Amino acid sequence: MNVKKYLVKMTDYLGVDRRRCKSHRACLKLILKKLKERKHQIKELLTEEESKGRRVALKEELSVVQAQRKKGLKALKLLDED
Amino acid sequence: MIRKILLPVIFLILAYGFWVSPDFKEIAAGVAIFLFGMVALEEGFKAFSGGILERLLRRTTNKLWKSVSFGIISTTVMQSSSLVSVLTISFLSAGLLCLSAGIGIIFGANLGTTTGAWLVAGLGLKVKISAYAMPMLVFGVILVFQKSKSLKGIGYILAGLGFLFLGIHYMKEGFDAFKGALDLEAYAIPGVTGLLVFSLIGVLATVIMQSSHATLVLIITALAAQQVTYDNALALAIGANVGTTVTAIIGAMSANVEGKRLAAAHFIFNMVTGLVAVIGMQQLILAVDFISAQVGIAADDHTLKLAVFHTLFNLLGVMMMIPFIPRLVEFLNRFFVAPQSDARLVRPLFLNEAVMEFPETVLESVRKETFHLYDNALEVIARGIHLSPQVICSNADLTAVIKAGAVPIPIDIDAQYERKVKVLHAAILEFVSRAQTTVPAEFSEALFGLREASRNIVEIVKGTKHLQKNLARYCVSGNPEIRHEYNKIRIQIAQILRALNAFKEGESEATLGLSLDVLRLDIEKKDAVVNGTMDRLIRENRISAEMATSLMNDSGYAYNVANKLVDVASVLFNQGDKAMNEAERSVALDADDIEVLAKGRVD
Repeated sequence: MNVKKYLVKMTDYLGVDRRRCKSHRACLKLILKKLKERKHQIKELLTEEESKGRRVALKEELSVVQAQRKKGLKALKLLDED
Repeated sequence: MIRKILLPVIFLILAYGFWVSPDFKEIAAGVAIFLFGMVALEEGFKAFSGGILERLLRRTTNKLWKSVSFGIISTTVMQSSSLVSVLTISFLSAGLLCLSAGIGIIFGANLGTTTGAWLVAGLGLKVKISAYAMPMLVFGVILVFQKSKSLKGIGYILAGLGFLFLGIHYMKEGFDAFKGALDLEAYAIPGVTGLLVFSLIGVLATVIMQSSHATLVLIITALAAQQVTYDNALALAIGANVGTTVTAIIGAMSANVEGKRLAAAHFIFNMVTGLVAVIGMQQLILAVDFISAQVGIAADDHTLKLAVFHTLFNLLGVMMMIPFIPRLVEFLNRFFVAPQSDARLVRPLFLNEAVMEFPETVLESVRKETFHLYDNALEVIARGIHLSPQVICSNADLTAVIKAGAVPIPIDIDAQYERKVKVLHAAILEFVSRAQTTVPAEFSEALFGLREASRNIVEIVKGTKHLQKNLARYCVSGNPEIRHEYNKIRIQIAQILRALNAFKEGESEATLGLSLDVLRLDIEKKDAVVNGTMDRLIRENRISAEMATSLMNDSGYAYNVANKLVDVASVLFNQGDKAMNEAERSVALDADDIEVLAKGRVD
């Protein structure tokens, strides 16, 4: 196989990889958006909620949302750097 | 016995035929090449299954007219109603398709298969198709040797078409040469007797060749060579239509009750259509003459008129039967009854040979069977923690329910495990092991994930069994402290089951990944609290050493049960888009993240 063929194969490979990367990035952004919305939603609910048990549960969910968002943003940054 | 001698007898008859007549040899070789072409064509289209075909089938079968259109188009493109039938039975058996949609596809496939007659009569006999066959074969075979799955698929399709054309060519040549040696038309039978005898011959030929398409090509080429009369050819075509249901019936033998219902619908449709065609033969012939004259087909062009007849009587059948589909479904549901007894629960509902044909149906049936296992296990787990499954699936206040009904629910978990869990788990294990040799690599990961989920469900039931004895003992104990701790374990497991049920029923608004991480954090947090409480209770002598030991062990079991339930949910309820699932996995928290969050909350 000559160099030209290798180059074509490599470009194809990179093309598939790039496509996958693009789709992964789009999904990640969508999830981050959903998490952001949920974060605001929980914060709003917390200002109105009076039940202690429910407030604890909401705070717990908020901490998970924040941790997931942090992780997602880190993954997105890594994707952009690549 | 008959099976054993059938093949040698067929071989002997063929060998004698070859010895007596070289022309018969050419015709038989033509049929063999044609059938081989169909096998190659099916192989080629199967290369595209696990993707395009399944997606199309899922999207285009929500309405009856769409199902019928899918049947017509797919059979026209693939030139194989058998492949469409197998695909439909497979999807139906995996629960991806409803019976009325399946029937619609089969009706459409019957109509689609008539395009074959048009192709052969209109193109195959008028053009020298063997000239196209050769390059197709050469290009096809080169592509078959390629590594890429798609190229290989295209190669099989090209080679398949090449063999089909070559087969038609040999049949045509054979019949032309045969004409000089022996005039089969001399054996023509006129009238009703001829109609019935040749219909039966058509059935037998199709049963032997397992392809109505091959029979039809044989009829058309024989008709073109004037080796069979027009009337007898029409009767043969009716017989071929009835005979083709045999393929579907054989395919449905290994299918579940839904597959059997579809095969029966196919049989009923073709029998009714055949019967109507036999009864109204004269009227149909008049209609064919009229239509042919309208579209410019010459009165003596019998091959094209046969194609018109084939399309007309199948179209008539579809139009006649479509209004009766709901009644047909009702009848088939009544005739083929799925066992309703309690014993049915232990039997796998979705794992059968019919779904093995396509990777997507394999995956979907294993997922559904694991769901079935989960449902059975849910009942055992709920009763194991002395709550009814109805309470778990309701919105009732768990603390209030537990306070109100302190009496433990008696359950023999070992017996329930043997009856409702073990059999299904074993069936899933066995099915996945067999399937992994047939499905492509991209499906293997999901398949193994489901197998792991099934194993986890078994572990959960076993864990519940360990918990059950002490739960029964201490949830009615006179010691309020130990009673409270054990009731907390019951509530925790019940809450997780309830949250997972909300997901299963699609009632949860949050994303699966987020909810499961919240559950994981809650489990971790509660485990830390239990440990702290236990130390305090022992220190303050509020529970005995024996109670403390039991509580310590049982907290461990409860922790494992809770975590495994979440693990099962992460596999079982994750049914969305592949790219989306991958992205969700990248934001999901791992064990270390959860531990950090839990410590933050506890401290």
